[in-house]
Formats: sequence, C-alpha cells, structure tokens
Amino acid sequence: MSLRHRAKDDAGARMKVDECDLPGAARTAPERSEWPADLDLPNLNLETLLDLFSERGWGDGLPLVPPTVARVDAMLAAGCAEQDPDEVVAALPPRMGLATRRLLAVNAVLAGCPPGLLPVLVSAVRALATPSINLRGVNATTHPVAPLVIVHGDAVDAFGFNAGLGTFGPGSRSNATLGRAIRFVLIHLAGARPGDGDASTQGQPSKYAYCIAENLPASPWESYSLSRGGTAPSAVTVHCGENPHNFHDMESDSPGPILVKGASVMATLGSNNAPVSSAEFFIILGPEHAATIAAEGWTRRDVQTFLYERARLPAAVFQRSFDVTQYRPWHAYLSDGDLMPITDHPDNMRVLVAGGAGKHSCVVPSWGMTQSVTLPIEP
Amino acid sequence: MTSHKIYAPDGRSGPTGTPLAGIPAALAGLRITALDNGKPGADALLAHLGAQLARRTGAVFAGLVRKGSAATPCEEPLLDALVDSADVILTGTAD
Repeated sequence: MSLRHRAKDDAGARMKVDECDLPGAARTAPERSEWPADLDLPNLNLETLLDLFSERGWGDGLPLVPPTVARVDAMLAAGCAEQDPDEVVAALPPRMGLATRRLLAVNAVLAGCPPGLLPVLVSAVRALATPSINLRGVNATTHPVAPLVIVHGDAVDAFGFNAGLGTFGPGSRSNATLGRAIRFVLIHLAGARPGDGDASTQGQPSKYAYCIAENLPASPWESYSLSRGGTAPSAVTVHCGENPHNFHDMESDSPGPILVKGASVMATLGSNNAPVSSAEFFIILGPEHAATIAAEGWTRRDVQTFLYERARLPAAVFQRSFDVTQYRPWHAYLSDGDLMPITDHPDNMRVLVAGGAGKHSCVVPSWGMTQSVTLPIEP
Repeated sequence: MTSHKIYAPDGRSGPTGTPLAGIPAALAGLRITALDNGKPGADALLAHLGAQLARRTGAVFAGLVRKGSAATPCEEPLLDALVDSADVILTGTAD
C-alpha cells in the first residue's frame, strides 16, 4: 500500500489570517502553499482510509466517510455558499488549529454529516472558541469532560435533529454526526488526542458524540436560547460537562418530589461542581416532568431557585472533602452545620426540555472552570 | 492504479504560546521561585525541588506563589510580579 502525503499548491485554498483578530491567531500570513493538505489514497476502500487515519492518530476509531474534494465542495455549497470557505472562524487550543469553513467541512464529511449541517457546526465551533468556555482547559484536563451541543429553534426541524425520544442516544443522523464532527474538530484541529492534548484519565462515551436538541413544542417555557437573551430563530449552546446523570420519578404529580430527586443527583461530592461553586448544571427535563412542574404554575426561574435551595450539603462536608476549592467569599462565613448550595447562584441551574415520553430527566454536571455559551446559528 | 485525493483533516496551526525564555548558563546566585498551580501535592513537590536545586547549584530558593486555579492561566499581576522577582520559575505539576 502506498499512501503519500503531499502539499497542496492550490492557490484558492489559502489561509486568510492576515486580518484575523482571533485570540492566538497569526497576525501575518504564514506560508500559504500547504493548506489544506491533500492525501492520495490508492483506493476509496473504507479500510484503507481507516488504516491511514489510525496511522496518523486521526479519527475516533470508527469508519469514516472519505473527505473527497467533491464531498467537501458539496458540504460548503449546501451550507456556506455565500461565505469565504477559507476565512478563519476560530483558533482552537491547545494546538491553536485554525478552523476555516473548508476545514470544518472536511471534518463534517468525515463524520457523515448531511451537507446542510455545516452552519450548525460552524456556530458550535465559534461557541467552543469563546474564552468563557476555556477550551484549553477543557481539552487538557484529566477530567472526562466533553462539550455537549444543544440545538435550539428552527434548526431542529430544518436539519432533522431529534429533540424527542432518545435525544441523547443513537438513531438520528444529525445528532450523531454533528456530535461526532465536534469531536473530530477537537482531535484534528485543537489537537485533543487522547494522551496528547487530551489528558482525560478515563474518557467518557460522550467524547464520541454529544449532541441533543431542545424539544420546544413539548416545553411549557420559552426557548432556552430566548431565555438567555438570544433573538435568533436558531441557536446552539455548548456546555462542557460530564455524561448525563439520570433521575427518575414516576410517582409524583407535583413539582417538589420530582425536583428533590434531581437535586439529590446534583448534591454529590464527586463532580467538579462540588469544589467549583461557579460551575453550572444543565437540567434536561423530560417533557412529562416539565408538564407536571409547569401545571402548578412553576416557571423556569422557579425550577432554578428550587434546585438552588435543595441541592445542598452541610458546609463541613465540603470542607472535609477538598483541599483546593474555588468558592465565593461568602462561603467562608458558613458554619459547619449550614447547608451550602452546590452552586453559588440559581442562574447556574440551566433548565430546558428535551426527550420524549416517560418519567425521566437528567442532569449534566460541569467540568467546573468553564461557562456555557449560546450563539445564533450563522454560516 | 488511480489514486484518489482527499483532504487532510487537521489544517494549519497558529502560534501556540509565548516563546520560552533563555536558559541561564549557571544557577549560582539566581533566585528560584515555584509557581504552584494548586493541585494537591504540587506545593510539597515544588518546594522540595526548589530546595534541592538551590542546594546543588548555589541558587536561592525564594519559595512558592500560588495562582488562582490549575484550570486557568496565571493571573497577569502575578506573572508580572514573578518576572520582577525571580530569575528561574519552577512550575508544571498536575494531579
């Protein structure tokens, strides 16, 4: 087998970083003759491609769709036809990979994304590069953290995302491939390869793909993105956290008992929310739990406040458990027996509805030193 | 056999950080400070390293300073103070 790696001299495939003001991006144009690099494959046999990617430390170990020029061009034409394909939209640490639409299209093709999905990926990558996400830390930590991408608004139906039954699980091409494309971007552009840029001790399954959609038709409240001040018809949220932790209540016909169970999932010492008080929780309510809660007139703010009040442990328990903490100054004035909230403000309880029939909801704890970002979907 | 062209998925990288300072030819007489990132045990390890390095080379170990979090960059005022007060900085421990 002969696999040859050579530079591309296509003048149309240039980096455009001269005027780029992204943090860490080059101020002057580097050599322009080598991007994007081409690979010559002796055949388009999927095993050949998988072997090549394995040799180079690329991919996620699963079969890939060959990113031929024709497929990448189709991805760009379907999603970003009016935009400059070689504009740098983000610089991703720790490698500081320069993400252009063309390069994102390459990774979208590899992941199996349908062509129209590219603007969602572009927007999610912009969100990842927002400083409050702290992507360098997210990628480099020993924690298993993975970015959860949540799609809101018109894009859910327009791109065929599954916001209903099994939204976290398999079966939807858009959920699966967008989540996978995000991981490819982190591995290939950001340099977050396990053991080299990604120091996660054990990893977690959501590092393969982690994408859901808000089930607005089944939600009693306004869209999560609207609640965060957004006005765009479609938006994407990125929250860097653990796998979802389920909570189950099929007995209750009032909000309190349901949310007490949710609060009990949050008030634990093992997640990074415990030593980092500014960390958020995402509470993904199933539609039936949300309906029960809203039927008694509870707003999203009520849910946030209740969880803030109930997800607590004695201050002495926190003090005994951690040598190093990131708490607010007022925490120092709590007595041993005082109940200390697991997060320092109700707004850190981020509530939305997703999923289908059944009496299950979940909590997605945070990595800690990161804040979620919601951005409009724009190509 | 006809080969098929595909794109590589990684692309070019930008600058990844600030260039490292030059390494001094000798440590004798220089001030060594340890930058503790707050990870459990980092202080003990760095203090031991600093003391041993000073003992072996004739440098002066000035002790430790701690940054706000292991998960975020060192605060600029602390960095400025380190630049003003230390010739050599020990750091880089984890877990």
